[in-house]
Amino acid sequence: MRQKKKSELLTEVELEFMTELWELGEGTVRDVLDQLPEGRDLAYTSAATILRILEQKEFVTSRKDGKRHVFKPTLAKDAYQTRSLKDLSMKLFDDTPASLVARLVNDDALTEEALGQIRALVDRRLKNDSG
Amino acid sequence: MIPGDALLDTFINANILLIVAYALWSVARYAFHRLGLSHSYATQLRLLNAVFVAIVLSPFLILAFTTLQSSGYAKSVNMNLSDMVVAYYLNGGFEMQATEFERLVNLRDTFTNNVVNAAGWMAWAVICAFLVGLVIGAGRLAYSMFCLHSIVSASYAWRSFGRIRLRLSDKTLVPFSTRGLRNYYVVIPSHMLGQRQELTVSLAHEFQHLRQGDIEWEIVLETLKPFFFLNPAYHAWKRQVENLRELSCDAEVLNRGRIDVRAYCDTLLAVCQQTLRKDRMFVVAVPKVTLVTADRSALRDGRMTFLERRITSLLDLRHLRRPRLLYMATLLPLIGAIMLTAIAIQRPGDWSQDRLMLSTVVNLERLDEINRLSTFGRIRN
Repeated sequence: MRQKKKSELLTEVELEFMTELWELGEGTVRDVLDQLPEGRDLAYTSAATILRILEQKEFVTSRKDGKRHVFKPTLAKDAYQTRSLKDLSMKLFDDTPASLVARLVNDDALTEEALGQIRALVDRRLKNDSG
Repeated sequence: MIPGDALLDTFINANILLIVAYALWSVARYAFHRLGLSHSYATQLRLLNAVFVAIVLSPFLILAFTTLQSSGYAKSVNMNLSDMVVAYYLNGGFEMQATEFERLVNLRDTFTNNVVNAAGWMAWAVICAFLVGLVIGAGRLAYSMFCLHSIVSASYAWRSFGRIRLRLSDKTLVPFSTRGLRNYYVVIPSHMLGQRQELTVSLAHEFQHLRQGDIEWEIVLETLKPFFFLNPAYHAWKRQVENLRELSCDAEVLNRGRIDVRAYCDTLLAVCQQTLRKDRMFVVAVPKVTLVTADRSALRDGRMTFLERRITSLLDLRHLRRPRLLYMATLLPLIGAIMLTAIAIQRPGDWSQDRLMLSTVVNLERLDEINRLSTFGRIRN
């Protein structure tokens, strides 16, 4: 098999694992499994496989600690959020982030408080760019 | 080197045999249905495959038969359809002008000669249509194999035992299996690792496909498709094999008793839902055997979808008592009929007594026509 092209995005189950790892900072397979919600029927070997795939995708690195492998994210959560949003903007909003924000702002479920926070963020960004 | 007309002749015979075999198969299937044996999917699949092998092997049988006849055995046995029709005609079986009848009898020979010598626009049209179809079909197959290779090579190694490689992929939403020159690849969508029931069902299903040799059959049928693209019986045959292999696989997995029928049906429905998402590369990729495929056309036409049929048959699963007896009892007449047809549709070897007689009648008819015309003064020497 030829060298595979690295996937830029995570699948649902991989994201679930990365979320736990981001929260933990670093952890073993068992640590991640313990973090998962109760009733999540996932075998140890399956969890180990998912972490190994994440390592192949270069989302995590691992080091040996005795008999166990300790996994650590190589990508920060906000960096992945940016990547994921860029992908969403490209695929769903014709590569125009303004459309994405417009859709978000037009959402009726958004509270006034949340809208205020968005406005503050935009103002801060504009001030930084002009200053 | 094999002469062109012999090759073309074999190809025409294979096409005729496929049509006859499919017609015979339809009769057998109807008989199964009437006898309440519709659920004997594994037997039916084996029958279809065995008949296909018989079609492939038929040129060798014919060779053996002609060798036997040329060495003096069974010389009086004439099973050539064309010769039989000529004899029937000469015995007054039906009325027709001898010239017209001879033209009909020689139609295949004329067609073969025209195509081999590229004589006439009709022959050119046939050659061009075939070559264009063949090139498009071969190109499509190469592209499909490239897509499949891309999906498999982009997947992650999970486990391996013997020649089986289990791989996880985030590029596909449907489990499937395929093979390389040596190894078998079972590719499972990586999200399934989090769904134990779907994973178990998918693996059991794909392993059953490997046991049944479905991948090899898929490879054979996909490889031959560019050659037989003009033959509707071939497409119908392939569809039958595809349907039967899934129905048989479902039945065999459940008969093992390790998986609950509800869990199995739930998985089929869940995975089918995933296939409804458009994934062109996956749809195009062949040769592979998947857990389930979405039947969009049926949804459009309001017909019963194949998935519906699968689930209904799973809920109505019955154990066949004597599968071998049924298999042999159906196979022998089917193979016998195929072999007889194979011998009957051969080009007649040489001039038989009846053919000489027909030729004489045709010549007399022509002489009569010349005489008649010259009587009225139209032909002058």
